[in-house]
Amino acid sequence: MEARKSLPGPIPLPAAGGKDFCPILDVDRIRKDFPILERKVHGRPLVYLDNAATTQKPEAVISALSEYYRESNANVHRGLHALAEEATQAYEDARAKVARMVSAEGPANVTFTRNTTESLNLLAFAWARPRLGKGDVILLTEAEHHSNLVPWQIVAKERGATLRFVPITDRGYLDREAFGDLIGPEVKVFSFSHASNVLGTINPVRELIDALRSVSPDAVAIVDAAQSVPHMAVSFPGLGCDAMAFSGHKMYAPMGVGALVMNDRLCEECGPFLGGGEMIDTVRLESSTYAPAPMRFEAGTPNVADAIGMGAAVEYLTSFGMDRVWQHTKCLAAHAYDTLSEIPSIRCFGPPEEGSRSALVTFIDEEVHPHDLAMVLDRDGIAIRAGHHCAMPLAERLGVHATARASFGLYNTREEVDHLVESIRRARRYLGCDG
Amino acid sequence: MADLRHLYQDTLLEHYRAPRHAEPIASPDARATKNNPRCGDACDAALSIEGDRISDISIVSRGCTVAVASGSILAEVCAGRSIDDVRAVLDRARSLITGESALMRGDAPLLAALATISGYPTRHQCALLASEALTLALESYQSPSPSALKATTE
Repeated sequence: MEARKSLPGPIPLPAAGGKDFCPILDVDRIRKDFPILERKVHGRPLVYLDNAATTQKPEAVISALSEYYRESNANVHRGLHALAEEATQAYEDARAKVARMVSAEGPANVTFTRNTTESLNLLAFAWARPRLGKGDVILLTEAEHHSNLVPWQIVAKERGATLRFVPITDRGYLDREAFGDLIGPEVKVFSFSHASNVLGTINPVRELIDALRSVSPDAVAIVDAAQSVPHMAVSFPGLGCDAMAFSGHKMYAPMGVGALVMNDRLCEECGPFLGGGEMIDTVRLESSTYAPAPMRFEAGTPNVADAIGMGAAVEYLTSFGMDRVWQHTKCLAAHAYDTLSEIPSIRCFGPPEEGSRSALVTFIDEEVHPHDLAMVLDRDGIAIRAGHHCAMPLAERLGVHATARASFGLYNTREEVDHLVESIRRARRYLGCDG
Repeated sequence: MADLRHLYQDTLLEHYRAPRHAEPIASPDARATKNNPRCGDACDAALSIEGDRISDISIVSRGCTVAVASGSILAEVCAGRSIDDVRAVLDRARSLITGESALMRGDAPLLAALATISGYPTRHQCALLASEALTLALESYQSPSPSALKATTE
């Protein structure tokens, strides 16, 4: 996590995110690392504010992919030739980089998957399905992404287990009192997001897990860290969970690769997910024995190039220092929350409090449908997300059918946030609303 | 934003602001709701039918400009027509929205507003919602089942 040599020394962090914003990252320089930011959209410079859906990729990642295919492409963990050795080394180096980034116990505790969704499905099907039964409870929250709801619904239905949901308060926090009532020795799994992809709420992961463990010591705690790992320093042991899932493509890595971090207990207990090559120890016609983690969970030829790309992304991202990355994106979100709230017809969701919100703001304009807003903004070169953000139950809880979301990354600037707000004002006038 | 004027033309914006036939019919002969799970938009279509004629129609939409205005335009075009005519109008609306065919002589003039949506593929689903709800409503009428008069939800 050393600062890049070419960067100036650490600039003091600002006291608060709102008005007194000071640059903590050399964004002009960072922007040059992302070739796509040079392009225009509908004749306007691209303002990419859909980072919670996927981030853009820096040259370091693009060239890692290209270099791998140009120089070292071979299948991994087999073959005794030079290319196979290089490819295996690069793939395992990438695993070690991911492990170091989140302080996993070791590289073997990191399984490469396709994305957060696959990581969560792996846990639901390979760990929970064979273990849960009638009377067992899977605890989730109202604010989960579909990827942290649907797999558990399938497992609960099949095994006769019960789903429980921690409600959210009107301010967008998990309801701690209700949480206290929902936990008990019958809770065998608690799976929840570190940072909500809609509300932006950062959950007090450690506290919740400690509270659960005090009444159900063996419960397995799973954290969906897809919206936190790209933005802040996340320590797997610090969170106190048994497993943590995140995607590469939301942290400047290629699409198609993600990670599942498990502690030694789950690495030991969790059975195979997909069967095939790579994941076995010995295969006989009637039965097989399985390889230890992480190989047990990586059947078939893995996505070597993208995993290497993820390693490159980790190196790139952490070179800025995750605390500074966090200060930067958090400040952008706070600025967006403040300035969007100045438009009377706009309602922002999630906690307004500094430090409780991650790098995004979800909002609605009471007079303009999010689709219309997103489309008019697009013509200004601004990319935002509109819809239910794969969290339909949460949208229902919030009493809305669709919302707009602006989400930030390393390369976004305060000026871009101002441009967004100005463009929304123009869109409102264009669509016949006042101001 | 200049090129968006093709999409957000006056007719469309006007129908969005003041949708026609948006008051739900009290006791319809056919009714169906169509949801767009991708964005949460929904359209409820209800028909009163006398003989083979649509004597009254209501389209209650929840959604963006394109979804609401398309419903309003279709309701206005379909009101008072025969069931066969309405089927033909819905077919034409679909092919105009998706760009399968261009406007033809004989198309109801209001359908021109739907034809411009073909240039914006991300909005096709929004525009098709009302025609799909109407199609479902007609199907529920023509193949009566015990639940024919109950809302059909997809």
